[in-house]
Amino acid sequence: MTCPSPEVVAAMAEGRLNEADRDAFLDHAAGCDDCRHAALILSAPKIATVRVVPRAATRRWVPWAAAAALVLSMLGLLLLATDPVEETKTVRTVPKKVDVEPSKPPAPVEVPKPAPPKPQEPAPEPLKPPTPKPTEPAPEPPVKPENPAPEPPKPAPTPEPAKPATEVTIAAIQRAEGEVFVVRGATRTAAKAGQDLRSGDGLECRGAQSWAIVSYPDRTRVEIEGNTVVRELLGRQPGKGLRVVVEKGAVKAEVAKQPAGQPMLFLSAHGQAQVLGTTLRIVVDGDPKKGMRLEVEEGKVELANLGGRTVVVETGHFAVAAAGALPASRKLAKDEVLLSLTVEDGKKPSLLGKGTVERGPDRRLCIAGEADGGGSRLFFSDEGDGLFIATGEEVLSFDYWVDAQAGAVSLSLWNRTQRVSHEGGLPKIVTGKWTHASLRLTDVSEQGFRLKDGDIASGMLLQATGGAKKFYVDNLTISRPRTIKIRPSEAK
Amino acid sequence: MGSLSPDESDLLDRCVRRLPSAWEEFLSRYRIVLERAARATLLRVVGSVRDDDVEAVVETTLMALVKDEFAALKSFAGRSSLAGYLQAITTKVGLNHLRTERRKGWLRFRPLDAAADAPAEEPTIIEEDPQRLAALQRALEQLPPRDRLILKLFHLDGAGYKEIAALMGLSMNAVSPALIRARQKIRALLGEAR
Repeated sequence: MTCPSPEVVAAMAEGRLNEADRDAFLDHAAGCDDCRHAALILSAPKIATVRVVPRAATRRWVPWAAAAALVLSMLGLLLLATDPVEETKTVRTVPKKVDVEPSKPPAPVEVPKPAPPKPQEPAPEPLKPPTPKPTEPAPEPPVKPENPAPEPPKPAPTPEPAKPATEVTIAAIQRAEGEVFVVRGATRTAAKAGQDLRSGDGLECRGAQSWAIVSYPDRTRVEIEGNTVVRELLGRQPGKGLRVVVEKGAVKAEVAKQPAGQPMLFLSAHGQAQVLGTTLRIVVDGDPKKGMRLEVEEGKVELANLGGRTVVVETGHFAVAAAGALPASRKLAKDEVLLSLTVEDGKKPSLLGKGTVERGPDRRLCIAGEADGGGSRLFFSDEGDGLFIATGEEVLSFDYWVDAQAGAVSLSLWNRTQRVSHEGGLPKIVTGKWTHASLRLTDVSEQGFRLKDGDIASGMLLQATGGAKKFYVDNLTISRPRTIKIRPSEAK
Repeated sequence: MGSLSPDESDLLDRCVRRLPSAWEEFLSRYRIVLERAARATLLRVVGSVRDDDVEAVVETTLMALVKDEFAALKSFAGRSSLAGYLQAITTKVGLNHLRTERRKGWLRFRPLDAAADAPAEEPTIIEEDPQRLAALQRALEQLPPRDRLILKLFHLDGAGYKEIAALMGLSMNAVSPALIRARQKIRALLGEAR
């Protein structure tokens, strides 16, 4: 069943449909809740002239599903029950009185008042590169992304320059790892370090392990992360700064101080971030609900959503421009938690292979080791996705309690990628009381084998050795410090 | 385009061609239309309005408008007014929004505001035989579309006679007999003639 277009629904509500179309719509509406409700809302005492005077009988349809079932049942009862006049009164499932918000009485739609535009943050204008690309015949092909992203309008349209600006080199690829491609017009070529980029070029990093660093002459650097499509990199133009159009994925940037009036822009279909000089990370999701996330490590960035609503995001904060939410600045968590095992609910975590959940010392609900010969052991594993993927910054932390017989608390980490086990342990232990411990996992090594960037750790054995019978662990987490720093320019 | 003024037509054309400041002008003129439509939809369905819901619906509608290079604006043929068209899109987005939010369990937690004033009017839960409900549903589906429509509008949607008359193109006086006829038909289908 194909629903009629919104235009037909609107025409229906406005009484503009001819008889045949009207009949067709009503027949459809009999079976389509959405269209029926839309038509009802649109044709009810006009939205166009919405009077938010409390209505005598505003009805609620919530929850529809429950109401539908309920009303069906009530309808059934009614059919068996009293006379028809009574039915019409008793069958209603919706309250008649609901106070309508009395505030903000809207004016008629036919004479919409322009919303006051923000003086400094003009509403978005769909993206457009400065000039047509020579390789593309269409006169104005600029926005390839499906969803044009906004950009503040310039004061006046600039005349098309006679010479195509796309010939100008605006940046260069400093590093490229994995499958990285430069997209120039219809041509896609493998990217190479040192390669010049022109205004209008795009970059694609395919796969999670691919990435590239783009460097601008002013020392601004942009890292394109894996699985990312940068639709266009645009150079400066009169009244416009550098622009990076991100279609999907994530980019980080260290933006050098930009010329006055020419902030660097990061644009997506969901909004834009305007930068004067900072370190930031932008993640663009295809899902409009997730939108564009901006994380600012240093400096100040203004984020605007598609509707032109803006928020200033400062050092250590993030904000999201997405359908369904006003952009708001929130504090970034210090650490990124990769694994967190809590047992407050008393249930055994699925990752816990060896060990039980019970009340330990101080009646604390925790994970108890399994006595095994000369010690007590806990084993955690995830053979599917692994416990975590290493970057070299991971820290294991936990609270432990071990009895006086324990000689040491050791750790064994199974590296599925290298197929080796990394062994280590706490430098010293405290017995008979709850103690917090933390350990950098890259420090856990055996015969020189250490966790490397990208290694997957899939198993972890924690054990109290030396005759320990009681070993308890709580609040176990693996985290890494959050950083938005771009990778170094030179390979180590 | 049919009902479009030259001014509206020009604005749409400029938006679609992405000319400078066209989108800004569009927003300044029609954002308020979208907001009102979103507000009216939420008000009608939920009985109260939260600003962040209105914002959510408006943002999603804007996304729908710019999607696929303004396909929604390009395809507008002028069969309705532009404001009406935008309201219709917003209403549909608003209904989707409510459905999604309800699925997420959000509606259970929203402040009930006005609804809290009328607890006595909440529908009473009536235990009903599932088989009978299914039979009722089947019978409803077998009814001619108009009868089905009027029953749904009145019993499921809570629409009043005036709204039903406006939507179905009936006179106010014709609504009650039409409802009675529809009920008789469904009783007959259920084998419950009275």
